[in-house]
Amino acid sequence: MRGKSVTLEQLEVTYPNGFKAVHPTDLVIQAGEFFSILGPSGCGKTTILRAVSGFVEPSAGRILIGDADQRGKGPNVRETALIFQNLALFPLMRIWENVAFGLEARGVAKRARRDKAQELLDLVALTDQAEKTPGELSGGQRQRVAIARALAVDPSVLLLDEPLSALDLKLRQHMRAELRSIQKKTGVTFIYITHDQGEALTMSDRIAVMNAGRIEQVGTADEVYSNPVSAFSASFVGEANQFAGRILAQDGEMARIDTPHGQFNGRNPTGLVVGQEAILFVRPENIRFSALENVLHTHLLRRDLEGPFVNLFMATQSGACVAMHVPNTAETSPAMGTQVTIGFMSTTATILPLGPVARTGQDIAAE
Amino acid sequence: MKDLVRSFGKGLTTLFVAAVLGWALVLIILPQLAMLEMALTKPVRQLDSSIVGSLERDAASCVNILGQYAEPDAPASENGGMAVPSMSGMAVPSLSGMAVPSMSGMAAPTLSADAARPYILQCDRATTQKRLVREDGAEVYLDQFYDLPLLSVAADASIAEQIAAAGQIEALAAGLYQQLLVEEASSARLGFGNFTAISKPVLIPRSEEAQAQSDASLNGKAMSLLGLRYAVDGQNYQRIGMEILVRTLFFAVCATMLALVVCYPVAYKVALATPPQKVVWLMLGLIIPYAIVELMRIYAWTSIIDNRGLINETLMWAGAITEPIQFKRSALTVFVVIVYTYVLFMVFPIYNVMSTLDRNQIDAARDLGASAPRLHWRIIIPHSKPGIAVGCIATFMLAAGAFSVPRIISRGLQSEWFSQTIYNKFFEVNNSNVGAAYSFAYTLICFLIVGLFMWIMRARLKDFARVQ
Amino acid sequence: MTSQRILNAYIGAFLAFMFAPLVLMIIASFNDASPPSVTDWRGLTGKWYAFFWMSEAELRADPVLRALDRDRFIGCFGNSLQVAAVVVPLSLILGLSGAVMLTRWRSRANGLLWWVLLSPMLAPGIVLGLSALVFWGRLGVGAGLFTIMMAQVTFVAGYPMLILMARLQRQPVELEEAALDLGATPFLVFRRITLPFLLPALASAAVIALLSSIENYNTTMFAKGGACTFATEIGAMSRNPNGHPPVINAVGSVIILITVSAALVHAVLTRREMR
Ligand SMILES: Nc1ncnc2c1ncn2[C@@H]1O[C@H](COP(=O)(O)OP(=O)(O)OP(=O)(O)O)[C@@H](O)[C@H]1O
Ligand SMILES: [Mg+2]
Repeated sequence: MRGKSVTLEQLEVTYPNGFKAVHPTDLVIQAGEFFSILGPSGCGKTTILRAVSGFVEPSAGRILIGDADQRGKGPNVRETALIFQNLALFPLMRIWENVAFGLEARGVAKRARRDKAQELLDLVALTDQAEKTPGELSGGQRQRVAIARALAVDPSVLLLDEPLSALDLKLRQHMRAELRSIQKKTGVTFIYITHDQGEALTMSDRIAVMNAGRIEQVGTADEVYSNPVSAFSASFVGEANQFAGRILAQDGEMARIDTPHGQFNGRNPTGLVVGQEAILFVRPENIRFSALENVLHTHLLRRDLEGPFVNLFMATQSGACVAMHVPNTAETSPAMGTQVTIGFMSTTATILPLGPVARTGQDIAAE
Repeated sequence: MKDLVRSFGKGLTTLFVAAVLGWALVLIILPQLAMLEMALTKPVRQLDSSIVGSLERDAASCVNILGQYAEPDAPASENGGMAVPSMSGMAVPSLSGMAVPSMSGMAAPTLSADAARPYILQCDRATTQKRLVREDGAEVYLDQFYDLPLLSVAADASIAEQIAAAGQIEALAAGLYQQLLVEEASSARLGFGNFTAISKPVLIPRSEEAQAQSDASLNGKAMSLLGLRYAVDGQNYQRIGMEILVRTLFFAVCATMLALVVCYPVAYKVALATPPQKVVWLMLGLIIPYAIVELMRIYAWTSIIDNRGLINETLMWAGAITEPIQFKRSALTVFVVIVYTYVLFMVFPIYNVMSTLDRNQIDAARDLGASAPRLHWRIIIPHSKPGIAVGCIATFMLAAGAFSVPRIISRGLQSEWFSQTIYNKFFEVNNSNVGAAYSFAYTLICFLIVGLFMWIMRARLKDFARVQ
Repeated sequence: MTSQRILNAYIGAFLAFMFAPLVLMIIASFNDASPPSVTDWRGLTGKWYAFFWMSEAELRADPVLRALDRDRFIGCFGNSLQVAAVVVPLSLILGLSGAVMLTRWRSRANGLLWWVLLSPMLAPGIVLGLSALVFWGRLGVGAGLFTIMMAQVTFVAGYPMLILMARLQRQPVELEEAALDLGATPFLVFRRITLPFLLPALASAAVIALLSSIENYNTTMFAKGGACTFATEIGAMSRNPNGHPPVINAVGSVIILITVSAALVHAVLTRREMR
């Protein structure tokens, strides 16, 4: 395994105009890990990546690759390779020259360069494209050239900045699998940036959720999805119904919250105490048509068909809108306007401290 | 600077910075400073020391020449009085066939029998009553100002006395000269005198009818209105430098406006009203005259406007005129040729910007019912504004700085354009300081006009890079 | 559609205005009359062209050509080439440096640099010639080919700068960063990425610099001292009291021929590229 770990110690990045894009951050990425950083646009993902690859200098803190402090090293001497958001293939060079450019920079003889390039092109299944120029390839092929080019310099860490964002859905899904298999084959540490949670959840060993220059949570896909530790994580990863209110009672792992829509029980992972302001999050798929521990009296407002599943939007008497995600079977759809009682289990709901939440599609549409 | 080093490395960055610094300093800023210094320096000719110096030389030559007469058997020297044309300073670059204003000042000796001495210019000039040059035009004389005795070489005195007088003057002048040199070297020699020379009035001797004619002409009227021509005590004065300056700028502005009006439809046609496959040929029609050497474009006009050129011959053949019209002498011809020569500098910037306009916008506006004028006024002109600004600036500066056109068209017969005035002043003997002042002032004025124009148009310098 | 027709007629008139003098010039270059004329036809001749290669004896036999100094003319043209040989490479270097500094140098002084570097292109040409003359004169360098070169470089370098700047701005910064990230030194990045990207622009900048150096009259005239160039020599011929010799028309016609063929080749090439 040739990957190396990446350690951020109190890393902080401030741009020359005074804007602090990354607040002090500690993070350890294991050697050979497929690590994703997930966050909304402008939260500082690219900035972290550029700090690791050496294009921006941290204003405080340090970065270790393996055990080596990277302070003072330029991008051309770091053991990282960056795949750019727009790929940045050299338009005037042939494909194999693109792939072999890193070797050229290291003074490798032309023969050897060519051979190594061919080897890598075989790896990314572009065997016959060596003599073309980037303009003559399709989007997915270009993507793979960029990967081959980055791998050619034998990096310990491969940094990928939303590399799939420009591709269509089918190709994106295909490339996800391909990236994952290349990572397995090579054992290189991948740091993968995306704002697409599906991408992050399916590919990664671990995920960091980031917001406004801060990392909110680090964990496996399951942990992040099922056990969010901040209001932002809970709202940004997947969808969640939110009920804001005040803690009424607290009992070990559980707590009771008082909201304008009723009183509910939920898990209390952060140890909130009575009187604190908080939000209860519950995922749409955890809401059922039965009076479970927590009950809401509603009527159907809207029904969106999504193939095997149906999204139902239920209005409570208190004026809230609750989203439900149910299998598309005949008995699960109440008639429009009829009164229905719905509920959810306390163990599927999470109560988290009040904090910034991600804007949902509904918020944006409402504006 | 750190960004630069990071993306280009130390070596290249040093090269770039050095090259730009060299360009900016050695080629642009320092030469202008040298010009400014020269412009602020009093012409050598006008310094008290050089007046005293020439007095010293005159007196010395006077002594010399008189000495030859004093020796009884010495033949009257043929070249006696020619001895020293007193001219100092500045070497004039030799100009093949150029009309450098003729230099006068050669003294021709004329022997007259009854005078105690022949006419010797140097002796006549050897007097301490010399007028000094003062910026405010005050009448200051050497003898009074420096407390010298009023001495001169009296033509009716005996040769020996004359020699003595001249010798005394020489000695006095030599002493004062050294003293003045020291003083002037330590005192500031700078002043704005050369700049004010631009608006200095010059007495123009003219016959009554010539004056009446001049007054009646449009040019004359305009100039009097501006106070550039006036009469005092029946004498006519003209601020010639200023007049040419104003006229040049006026013509340059007119040429620019005319070029804009002429070019806008052309640019529009090529950029937006021609199917793409035909544009190539239209562009050819514009590029060819644009790429042809400027001088040739000017020469091409000579066979049209010559006295025996196309226009005159045609008119004469048609019987409209009997005498050829002197087009070469007319400022209007220069104007037309300037427009011809520089008009394409207006087309390309406008074209370049206009062609970036999405044609869909035009269709959309038409679809919404915009009339053609409104379409231009609201969509096309606002979009092309940077191009229009750059085109106007380029054309204006070319027209204002035109030198080749007036020079070739008028064959040096006229000095209609300010650039010619600068040239003449600069290469005139001992007047290069004034020429430098003219040149510097002209640059400033042109930059002011351009700056003002850019401010009005809300144009920025970066537009120059955009319209390329 | 009538407005279309008016516009077409206008363009036709404009092109006629642009081309008529040139056509007359070519016609006059074949007329055996001096000064050149199109109205006074004295018979077809090629001698205004042959001037450049006819024998001494023939030259001396001709009343008009006799008065011209062929060797000087050719010498001046040689001077022009010499000047261009210095001016073109120098202005490419300066232009490239200027373009890099203006596009990449992030500083408050950047705006000032814009003004300084563009000012020679805005200043009247004569001023540049004069100031070069004065400045180098102060340093003890007499007027001549050297001052011509310096004066020309001052403003000629602006053309490559503008052209290269437009191109540089179109180059994504990521390309350079990607190359750096792959371990290239900044110099290698410049040589392998930036320079090849700039190459077409450099080529056209060189052509433009060459043309503007050779054809420049206004600036050269003021800086030349006793030296001469192609342009000043052509210009000087206008001072002939009998009108300029038709040799100039011949030279002009050759220039027109060269320009037209170059433009045609260019147009054909662009057309092919478009397909
Ligand atoms: N050079 C810069 N100078 C100043 N601020 C910057 C600079 N580059 C980025 N920023 C700011 O820093 C913040 C983080 O930028 P960054 O590029 O890291 O976002 P990101 O998370 O990659 O977003 P996206 O998903 O849209 O790519 C943004 O608010 C951005 O405006
Ligand atoms: Mg980004």
